[in-house]
Amino acid sequence: MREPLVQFLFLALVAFGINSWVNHGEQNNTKLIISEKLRSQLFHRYELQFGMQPSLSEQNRIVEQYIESELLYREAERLKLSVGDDMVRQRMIQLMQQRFDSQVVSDVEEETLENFYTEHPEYFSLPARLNFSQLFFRIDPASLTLAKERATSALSQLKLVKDPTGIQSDNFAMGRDFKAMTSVNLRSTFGQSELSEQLILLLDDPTKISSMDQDWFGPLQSGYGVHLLRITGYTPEEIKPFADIKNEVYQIYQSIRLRENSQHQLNMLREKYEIQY
Amino acid sequence: MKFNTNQHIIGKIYIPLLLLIHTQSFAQNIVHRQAYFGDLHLHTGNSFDAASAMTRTTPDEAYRFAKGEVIQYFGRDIQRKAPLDFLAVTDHSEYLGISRYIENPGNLLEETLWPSRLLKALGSMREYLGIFSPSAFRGIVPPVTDFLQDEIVSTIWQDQMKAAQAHYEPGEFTTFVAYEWSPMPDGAHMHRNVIIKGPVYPELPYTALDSQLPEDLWTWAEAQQQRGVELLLIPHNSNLSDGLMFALRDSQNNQLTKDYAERRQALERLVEITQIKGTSETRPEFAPTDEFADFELIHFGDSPPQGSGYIREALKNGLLVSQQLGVNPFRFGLIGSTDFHSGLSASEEFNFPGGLGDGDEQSNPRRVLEDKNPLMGLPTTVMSSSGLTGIWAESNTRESLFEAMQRREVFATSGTRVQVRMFAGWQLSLNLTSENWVQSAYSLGVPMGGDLPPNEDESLAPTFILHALKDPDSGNLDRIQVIKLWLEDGNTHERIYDAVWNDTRELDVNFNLPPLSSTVDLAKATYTNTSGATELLGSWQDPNFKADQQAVYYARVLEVATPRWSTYLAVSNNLPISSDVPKLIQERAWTSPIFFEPQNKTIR
Repeated sequence: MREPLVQFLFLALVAFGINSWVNHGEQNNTKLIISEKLRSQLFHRYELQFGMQPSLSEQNRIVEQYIESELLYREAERLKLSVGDDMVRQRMIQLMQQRFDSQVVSDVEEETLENFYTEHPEYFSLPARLNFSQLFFRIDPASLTLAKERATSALSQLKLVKDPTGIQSDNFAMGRDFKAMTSVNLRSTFGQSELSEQLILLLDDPTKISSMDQDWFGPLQSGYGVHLLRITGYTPEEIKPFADIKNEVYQIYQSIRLRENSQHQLNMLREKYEIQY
Repeated sequence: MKFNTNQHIIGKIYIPLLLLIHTQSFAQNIVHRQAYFGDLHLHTGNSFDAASAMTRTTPDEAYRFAKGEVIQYFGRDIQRKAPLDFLAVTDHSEYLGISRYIENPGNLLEETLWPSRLLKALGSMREYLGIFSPSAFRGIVPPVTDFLQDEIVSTIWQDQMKAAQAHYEPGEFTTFVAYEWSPMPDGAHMHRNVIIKGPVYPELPYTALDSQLPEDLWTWAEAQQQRGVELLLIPHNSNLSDGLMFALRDSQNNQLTKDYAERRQALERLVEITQIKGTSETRPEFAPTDEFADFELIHFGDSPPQGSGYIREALKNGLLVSQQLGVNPFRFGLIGSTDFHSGLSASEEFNFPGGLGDGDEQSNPRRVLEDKNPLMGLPTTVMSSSGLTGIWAESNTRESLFEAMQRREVFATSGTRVQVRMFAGWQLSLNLTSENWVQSAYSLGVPMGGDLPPNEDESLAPTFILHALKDPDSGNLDRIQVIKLWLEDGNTHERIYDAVWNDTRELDVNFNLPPLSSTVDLAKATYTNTSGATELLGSWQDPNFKADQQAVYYARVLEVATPRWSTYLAVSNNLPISSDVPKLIQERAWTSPIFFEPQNKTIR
């Protein structure tokens, strides 16, 4: 860089670059060049859509339409109409998210997946399940109080004899015995109710089940009426075998990587910006 | 006329197990069927119109949401209170998944203008939709052939199938490989969902760009059946079909033929009665005596609604055609679906996040309550949170659910999980207090969707057993009605009977049951469930039965009034309740019909 000519040329190049950069937007925004390449792209698109080449008058129409839409687009950009527009903002956010996601490679070694599976059993468990029997007491056309009284009276009989045969209760449309009920099944079947929540507490803390000794308990209310219950079985949470769920492991592994990558990219952005609260 | 409540049954019909063996041979095996709830019509971001409305949800997310997982929608965590038992993702087969495909590195359209054009247009629904030339669905302009290359369609189709296979857990959660065929002749919705049983699948889906004509879709479906593909075609949104869906002409405006009726009956065994874009049962102008006909109705355009776009009229017309041709083309069962374009089957009224993408931002509740939905051009509040399908099946597997759909033992709901059973038989006097009454009903009668065979004793009227169990998270039950449609002197007729209820109400002089008083507190958008019943069970005998008349019977279960989703949204945000729509809703369920044909039906 000691040669004057080289220094001159370097400075000239910098000056040209700055000039081009400064004037670039202005020139582009006021000059619209309909090149042969652009024309053939427009006509090709028409051909793809309509299966034939555009006639001369069609060609003129296509070009004029393009000019008008491009003018509107550029003018909107010049007026910064995208600023504050929710749709455009949302779309730009989406495009950034896609950029982040495309950085995560989709091929993963099986060994990597197996290690992930071993380290994160919490993602691959079968939830705990309960088996139970119930006796049902309708709340209509009687009343909640009466149903609870009937249930309480039945419960005192069941303290003496566990066998419910001969105990007066009402038919329940979904039957008397329930098997392999998870917390999700309980809420679906009995609604967001006292019965569901009490049984979910047992699923969460099964030590109580053994002390219950298959005794009847209740009454508990569901979305249908009042019930007495007896727990007849409990299966603790299990981990599904890797061989059966490779695809599921992959899906979860990838979704975590995508999330982590997004977070990492966002953290880098946070460093780049000064955020004032 | 016999109207039975539970007390009636206990008091009057309690005849010790009158299980007379009928001369007809009904199912002899013990049948244990339970109700499974799900959705057979849902769009994700792989449908071009959903993508235009900013929906990005994938089929994978759609299945996970249906299973009960939390999914984000417009920045909010959304979760069903009660997960579903089954789901079919039915993205439009036209340009299936292109919106997402062009984002994949190395895709076959990478070198074309399409990716940039689509991405640039994504902010504008109109421009985005314009690229896909929906007018191609109307047969006006040729389709965008770039998007229809077999290699591209096949890749996307394989992805749709993979998502369905990955989430199928026999016994726990069932998925169906499916799609929607979406022709729009002159703007009329003539859409059918194609639900495939598996494990044999079509290599590519059939699209409205292949043909706009249902008869061509049937030809395709029959060819698939020859290959071993088992499938069902389910028409929907007949309310938006300009009366074409159940017209008494074929799509070329020819008179219906026996061949047409046979093909349609075999392939279109189910019809969707309710969904986000309205309920297609009937309208007050077609059913002036039906006090519950005005339910979640949507109609487009200036021309008046046509009866042949509505299911009750179709069922009646089917009897006429059957008399003329010997075959009923409109012998179908009923299902309910969402048709949401959000990828989330979130049909719970009290937990409804919207279903059409852009316009559903409940973080801006005023926009939801006051603006038009961009995709539909109607107030967003008019959209319905309907619906769900109930299937009576032995187990939650593809085989069991599909067989139940084939035999039409299915019912529709407006989005709640009301369970409803209906059986018909000639001597169906059962002890309904017995725990085993369902077994007896299967042994001695036919369930919903079935054919009631003629009886030798023509003086006997059929008896119907009706049962409904409430959704544990929704309103109590008001009543079960039987809707009878029949043919008499060459004309069709309809009559609605209030058949089962469980309180002290009595029928008025017109044989109508008075309404229950509402327990809704509008200021708080709450209700108490202190009226109505948790369960209804009773029998009903047709008081006007004639053994020489063709008839169709279906049941309708009404819940007590509860707040509509638009009311919940307004109250929880301290905004005025919308006046575009009713403040309350009587959620409901519809059974598939039971069909009766006389022994010596005259064929002209």
